[in-house]
Amino acid sequence: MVVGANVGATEDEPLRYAESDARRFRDLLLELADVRSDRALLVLGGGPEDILRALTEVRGRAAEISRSGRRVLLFFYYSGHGDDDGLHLPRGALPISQLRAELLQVPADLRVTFLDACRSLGRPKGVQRGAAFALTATPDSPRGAVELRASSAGEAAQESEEFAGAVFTHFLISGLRGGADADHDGRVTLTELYSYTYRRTVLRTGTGAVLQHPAFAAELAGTGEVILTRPERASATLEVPSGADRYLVFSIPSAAVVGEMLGGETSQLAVPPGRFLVARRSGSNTAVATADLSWGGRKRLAESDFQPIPREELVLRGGRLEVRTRRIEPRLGIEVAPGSAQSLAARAGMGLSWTLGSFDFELDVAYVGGNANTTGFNGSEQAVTGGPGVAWRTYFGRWTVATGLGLELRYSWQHLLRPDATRTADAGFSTFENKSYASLGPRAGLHSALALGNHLSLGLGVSAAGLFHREQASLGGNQVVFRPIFFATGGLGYAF
Amino acid sequence: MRFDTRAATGIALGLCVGCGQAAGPHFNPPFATLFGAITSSSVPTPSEVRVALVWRKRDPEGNILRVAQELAVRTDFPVRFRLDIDTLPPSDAINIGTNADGSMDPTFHYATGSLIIYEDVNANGTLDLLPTDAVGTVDRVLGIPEHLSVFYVESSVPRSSAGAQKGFNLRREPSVVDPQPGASTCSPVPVGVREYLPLSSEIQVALTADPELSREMCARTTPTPDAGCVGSSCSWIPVPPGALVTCNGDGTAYMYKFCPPATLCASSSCDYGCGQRSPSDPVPPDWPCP
Repeated sequence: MVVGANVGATEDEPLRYAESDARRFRDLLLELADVRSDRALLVLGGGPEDILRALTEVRGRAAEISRSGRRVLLFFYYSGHGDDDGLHLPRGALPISQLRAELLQVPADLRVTFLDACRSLGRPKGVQRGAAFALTATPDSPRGAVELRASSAGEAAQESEEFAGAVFTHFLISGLRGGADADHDGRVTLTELYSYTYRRTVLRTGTGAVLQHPAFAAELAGTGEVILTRPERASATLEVPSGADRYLVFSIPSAAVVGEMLGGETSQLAVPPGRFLVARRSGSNTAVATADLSWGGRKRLAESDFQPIPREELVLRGGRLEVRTRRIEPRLGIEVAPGSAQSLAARAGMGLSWTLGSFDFELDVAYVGGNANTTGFNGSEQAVTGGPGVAWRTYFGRWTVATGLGLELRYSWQHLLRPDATRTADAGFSTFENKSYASLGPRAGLHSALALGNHLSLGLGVSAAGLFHREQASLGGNQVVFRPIFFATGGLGYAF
Repeated sequence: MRFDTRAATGIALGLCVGCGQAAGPHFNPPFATLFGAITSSSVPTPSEVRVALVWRKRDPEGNILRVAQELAVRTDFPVRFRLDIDTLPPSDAINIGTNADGSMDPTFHYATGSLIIYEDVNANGTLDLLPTDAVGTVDRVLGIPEHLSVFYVESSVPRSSAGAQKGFNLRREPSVVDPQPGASTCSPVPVGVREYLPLSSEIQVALTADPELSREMCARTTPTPDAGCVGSSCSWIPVPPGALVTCNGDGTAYMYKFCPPATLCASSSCDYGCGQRSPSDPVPPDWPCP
């Protein structure tokens, strides 16, 4: 059961990320803990009565599972305002004692509770999306209840703009991803997680005005460790060079913080398949690198993968930093120009783009060639075409989609032949016509790129342009005409 | 002076668009353009008036085969008009030239055609030529320029066609008159000489819709061989009933012209025949001259 509430009591300043953190934690359970979606309850912005109603439902489902003879593991996560006595919810408070009592009513073998509650006036906080690792408890795990709280009595749980979420949750997630795996056995135990989260949270908040000590309480019976995750089973793993540097991992393109590593203690992090930006801080030096784990696997970043950037830029843009801002993309495609002498043509060219924030500034240069047919001639037409453009980039999973506007400038050559050249020549007429002309007009397009690695991408684009040029009328005379053209291209991009 | 970037950009773009000209999908500059005028019209001008160039080809048997080629008409038709010839004559219309001795001259390829202004009655956009057994017409011929033809040369121009050029020519044809009694031929006789005119010459045409003009729509016409004979040794030919007879002054020679009411394209329009006797010979029975 996952609960998030941005709004607390009337005296609490609304939070920014509590509900989104809760949503991401729920996603984490679905992805990594074999939790069925109908068994993962999410309560966002609800009051005490909503939480109690949900707990009743949880109790019923746990009983159902328990009756089938299977082990029940209950996770309860709360992100929002609260204090030592209870959770601050929109329509009243829910006493901690009542919450614990309700949780005890759930017939679970093991209850793990995470409370990231800001006791005082807080700042936005959030929880990052979980990685592809197994969140499990071994069959012989101890039974009982475990509770991890973001802060000790009398302390405020803090949030960080850098993490776009709560400090406690940030290290909780990082620890579960493998950051807490102190003995490097590929498993994160409850003890390791608390140790890691406590140390990192204290260290982090120690640089600020308010120190925060995460609290731990457990009532366990039985033997063995409580194993929470197995990062070794993750489908994707990111490794960084060992050392005393601090690495913050962002997801691309969402720019969400995935986790944190310290090269000195844990040099690997379990991550979901995807692309990542890794920012390294070493003293006053900052550097970034990218890693493509779209297809899973293990990526070990080398020292040479990092390129230094100004600290101010990293602070300003965070996970939206573009490490490789320039891209060159050879393209091949076809062009259709209905109503013109050249209705179908091949297009080969190159796109050069430069990324600045969410914008791509592009220069497209291409050669267009194909047959040209008029009422009285057959022949060919070739052109050099292209122009500048600007595009707005958006992201859909691994795809980057750029919607752009630009200008198409073109110079064309036509070589036209009379169909019956021999007779035409015998009659004393010229058998061909050569023409050249310039045209220009606006262009709009959609270009999508699928990342194939740190440098390569597969690009697909469709564009439309309206070109104006002078045209010789069929019965003499000239006029400026408008011709629409449509072209589709595919290419392999290289970013550098 | 302050530099106006927007104006400069506009000028540059304008110049760019104005640079050169493209051949559009309908690009087909004409090989030749003819100019004409309607001099008179005795019929109301229909809405579907078109112009065709009907090429005539004589086959080895002497038949006249016709092939029609539509022409693009411009400007303020029907008073004045311009005709664009934007395709070559069909291959079927090309004749092989002959030498003075009647032998073939394979190096001389030519075609001869007539302009036909017609009403496209069935609105199919083409002049519908008629089969040999046609009893009526599909389209209606409104007018044909008199004594004027389009002469097309698709080879070097022989000396016999002095004045002509490669390609399309406008040629004034001699008038044809009926033969005179006692003349050396029974065929219509040309009067005047062929003359090549500049293509810019104005073609004058009167719209009469004369039914006789419809014969120019016949896809195939079989000419009637010359009848009669010349000289005292040959027998004279009886004059068919209804023929128009012309005698000489002393009644010793005659020429008849018979235009039977045959089907439209069955034969050439009129048969000619001649007869002649010595003044000293007795007058044969049924001799048509007094």
